[in-house]
Amino acid sequence: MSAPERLSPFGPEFTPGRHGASGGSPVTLAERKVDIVQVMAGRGGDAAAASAVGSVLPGPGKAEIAGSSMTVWIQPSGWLVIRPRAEEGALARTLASAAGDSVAVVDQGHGRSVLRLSGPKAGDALAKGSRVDLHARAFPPGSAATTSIDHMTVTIVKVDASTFDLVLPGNFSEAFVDWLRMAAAEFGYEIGRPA
Amino acid sequence: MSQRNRLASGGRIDRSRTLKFTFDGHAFEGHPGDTLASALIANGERLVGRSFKYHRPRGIVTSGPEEPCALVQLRAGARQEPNTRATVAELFDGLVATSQNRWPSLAVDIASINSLVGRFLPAGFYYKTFMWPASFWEKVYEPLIRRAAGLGKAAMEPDPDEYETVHAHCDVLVVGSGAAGLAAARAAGAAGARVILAEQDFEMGGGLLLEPQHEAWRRSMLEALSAIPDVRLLPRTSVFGFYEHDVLGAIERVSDHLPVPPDHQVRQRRWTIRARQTVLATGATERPIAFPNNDRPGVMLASAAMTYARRFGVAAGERAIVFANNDGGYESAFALQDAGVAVAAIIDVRNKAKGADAARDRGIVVRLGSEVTNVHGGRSVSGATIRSRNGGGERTIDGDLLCVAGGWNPAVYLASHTRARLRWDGGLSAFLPGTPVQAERSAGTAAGVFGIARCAADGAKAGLEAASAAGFRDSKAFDLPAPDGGDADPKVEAFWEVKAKGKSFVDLQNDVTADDIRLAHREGYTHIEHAKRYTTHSMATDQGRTSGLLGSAVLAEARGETVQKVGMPTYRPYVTPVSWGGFAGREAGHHLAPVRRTPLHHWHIRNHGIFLETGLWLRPLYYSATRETGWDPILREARAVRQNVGICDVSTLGKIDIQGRDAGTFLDRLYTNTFSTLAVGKARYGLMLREDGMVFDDGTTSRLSETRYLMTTTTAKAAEVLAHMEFLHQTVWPELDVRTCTVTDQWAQMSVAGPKARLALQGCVEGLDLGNEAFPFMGVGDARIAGCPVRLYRVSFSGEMAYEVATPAGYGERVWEAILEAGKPQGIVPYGLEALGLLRIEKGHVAGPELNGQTTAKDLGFEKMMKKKGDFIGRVSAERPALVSPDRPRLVGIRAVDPSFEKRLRGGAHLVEKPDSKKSLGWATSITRSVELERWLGLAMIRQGPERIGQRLYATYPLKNEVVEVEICSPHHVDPENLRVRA
Repeated sequence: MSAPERLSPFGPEFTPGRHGASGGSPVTLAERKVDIVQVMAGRGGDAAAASAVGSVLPGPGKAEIAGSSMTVWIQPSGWLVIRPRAEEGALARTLASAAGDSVAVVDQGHGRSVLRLSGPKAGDALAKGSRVDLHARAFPPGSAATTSIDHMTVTIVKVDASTFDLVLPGNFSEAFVDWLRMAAAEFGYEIGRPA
Repeated sequence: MSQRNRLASGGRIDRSRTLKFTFDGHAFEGHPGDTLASALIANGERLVGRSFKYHRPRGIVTSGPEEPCALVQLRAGARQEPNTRATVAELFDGLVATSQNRWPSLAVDIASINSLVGRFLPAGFYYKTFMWPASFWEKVYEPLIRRAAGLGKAAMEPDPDEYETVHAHCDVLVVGSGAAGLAAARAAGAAGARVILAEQDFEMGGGLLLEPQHEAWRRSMLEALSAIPDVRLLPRTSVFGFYEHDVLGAIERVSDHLPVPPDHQVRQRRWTIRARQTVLATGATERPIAFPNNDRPGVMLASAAMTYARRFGVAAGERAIVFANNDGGYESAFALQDAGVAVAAIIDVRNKAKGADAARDRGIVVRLGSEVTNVHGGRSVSGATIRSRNGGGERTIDGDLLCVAGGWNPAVYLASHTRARLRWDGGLSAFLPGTPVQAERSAGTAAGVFGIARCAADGAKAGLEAASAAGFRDSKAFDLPAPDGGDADPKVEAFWEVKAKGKSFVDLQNDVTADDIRLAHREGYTHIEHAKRYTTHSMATDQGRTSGLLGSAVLAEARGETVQKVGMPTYRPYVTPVSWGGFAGREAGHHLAPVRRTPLHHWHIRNHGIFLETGLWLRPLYYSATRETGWDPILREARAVRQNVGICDVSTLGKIDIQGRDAGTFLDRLYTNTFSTLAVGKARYGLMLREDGMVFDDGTTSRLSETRYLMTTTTAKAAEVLAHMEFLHQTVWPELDVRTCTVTDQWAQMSVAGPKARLALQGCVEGLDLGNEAFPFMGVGDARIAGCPVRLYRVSFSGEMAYEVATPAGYGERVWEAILEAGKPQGIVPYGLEALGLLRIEKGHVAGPELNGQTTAKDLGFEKMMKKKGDFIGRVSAERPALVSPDRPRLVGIRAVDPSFEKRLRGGAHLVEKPDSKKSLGWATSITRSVELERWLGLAMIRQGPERIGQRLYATYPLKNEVVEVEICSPHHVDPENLRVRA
């Protein structure tokens, strides 16, 4: 039985529209409708985790991106598996049964949110809170870093030269957007539809 | 006539446009490209402030950020800004500026009488005079001194502008955009390095801005730099500090040059720059010479007078007298003469000067081996007395501008912040940056190199070296300016002070004279750091950038040692003053910390929740459409729970997922009680101690499968408990097969409590039999509500039959509303944090006030939860004698004897045996009105508490003169047999 539509963690004011300075190329931000599962392998469980996830598990500071799916390294032998949203809880159940006992699988589909930030100024907006060097040489596409922005824990994944996926704690999703609105105001920003 | 000192041509100002501004209410005009200082000089304004201590009239001394005197108040109303240097304030149309530190007006300042009684205000005056009586300091002396000495005034209104911070990374940071800085940036940029070029001025170019013959090169360099994608040019950006690990701080004055920041733009932006290599091309500032009355308006650094003429097209006077100890004074004199200023004489302390013949060819009188012994004029210079240094030949020269060329101080400040030692240069009589400590190098004039061509070459070399050190070795050559041969020789004669009667200032902003330094020396403050603090020399906002070395030289002479030996006081951040707004950035007002919202936040808003900040969380205290205050809404909600059913958002509880073959063992070691024996599908209350034996946290933990548990923690300790677990697993028990992570945000959780809770839930729960036998107290089970997956935990905090319903966060509102709808027949109401607290106090459940880090399990009546077999964190420490002493306060209940709400109990009240006793037996931890017993009651920590049950004591609250008679009882005011939760 499929569950009803869920409420967005970004709150009722996160609606499509253009804000901040006009002209130029605005930063665009949109909620990504995804399933998120945290996978933590026990000792010797990495192979089982890789086989369950079905792809190479990236090492520290990296994300394995394939289309709209990605696997992001977040801790030793720990990853976030992010896939386009399907039936509630199904991804976690599938991974858990495929991985077996040596791997802990935890559904974080509601515990985290993913915000896609794109545009030539996306990195400049993030730099107002992130200490991570986001320059192409230091942080090429496929890089991932968990850091603190405005006191919130954020995992930054670089998708391509001007696109970032930000994995946020669900309960701070609105607060993060509050901050991001200020950071992006000088460039102008556009909130897109969830996708 | 408007702008009577404006030259007909020349300079970098735009004469085609006029900007209007006011100073002390008088209207003036200037041009784009002006600073407030250049515009004031253009309009003939000499007197711009009063000095700090003696209230002496002061004028503009410099043309840059080192200005000690021309501190003014900028703007009006909420945007007013005190202590701003007129020499760096960019002029804009409508600028309002006022002078500071004067009353009633700049021209007539009553406190200038301090100047006449000046000999009674020596160095250390405050330390010596305002000592006695001690009580006078706070009430009389300090307010008096503050009023007298206060510089500008801060705005009383909130700052309407926004500020922000930004992080930047680069391979090479170049500070300063003169010839050396531009060349360094270009060399590094061409090598492929990521470069940031920061310039404090609004125009890039530094000393190049005074050299029209190099303008084409300056422009070509800026064009080339703009074309390199990885070069970032930051004008109006002062690098204010060089910190550990090659981190530098800078402040960008984004909108200070505009009346109001543009829409969506900040006023200032603070940069934290992580640079792999830094090139300090910060130039040098000219320094003065100490001589009597060297602070009169119209006494100016020679280079500043030249800058006003060449860059701003302004004559700083009509007839200049130049006082020099080096050739730089001649260059300035010639520049002034070229601009049409008459040069009355060059007074040179040296007996030989390279420029003397050239000066005489220009018709300028040169007096070698001479010195200035006095300055005439009060609010403006009218002339000077000079004499031969051999004695005699004293004469007076008329003039309205006295230009002082005392040599150059390379700007070593940022290099000094890194603790790089200073190096003395005998030729320049100045300190240069010594061997670098961090990844930095100085270039150009900052490193003691003079002349545009030589600086450019030195900068290019430094830029290449810096890029190479950062891993970029292939640069491309570019054109450097050719040496023009006209550069002045920077060597100076080490001449610091004219010995003549009168006040010879070494620190203009803090009014420190050469005599003050000598007094400090006589009184034993012979170390430069002591003399600095005793006299306040170089402690003002300019940090003695022009005259700091002068003070060291005067002290050196008093000690009979070299300046090199005496040294300089340590330079520390900030090189220039930085506004508070720049430091606060966005973290002001309610943006101080992010708001953490529960998944039900917007339902609470729509339904009149009155919120309370608890940590970062916003939680509904209670619900009231009429925004009632006081106890009414709280009692109403609590009664509904005791009589019918209520629903409360408990999503803030910490939730930790624990998996692995050893999860049970892991929990057994964490908790004082056992979890490995817990049946799947059951919850158990657990108590955790710290290593020191005190209670750490509590909560219920459920077993979801053989190898998986879900722990709940208190809201406050959620992160701490997870960190505690991770620490223990990683360092103490790495052999355990267990993995943990937070799932706090994954779940919306709500407590449904009250005698009709089951009935209400039966109306909406699908897929789970809620009958007491099928789903007993401490049962855990999965179900669906309104099509959403939920997990039910039969646990109770209120003491009533209760269920906690958890659902993935995105379904929180839907499930909450479905329960409210289903519970309508039972009269369900939402209840907030206040009623939650009331109910748990009545029930005798401990929370923050009891779990305060100073209580043991035994203190709280949990000794039976300390398992007999097996070790656990805190076990050994909890058995220390002091922690098992029978004298420790222990948890009991207290309730007012009076069955009404007339005399209130308060948390923190002390329990005593007699109403007037001063001997405290303990204190009330949590207090509430009771809906069950209709009186005040609460929990308390009392010595021999359990033995006192049945006794009567007095709760005394001396701060409010309250004494209430109370009965000591079990902490469980409600249902001590715990029957309701099992009903």
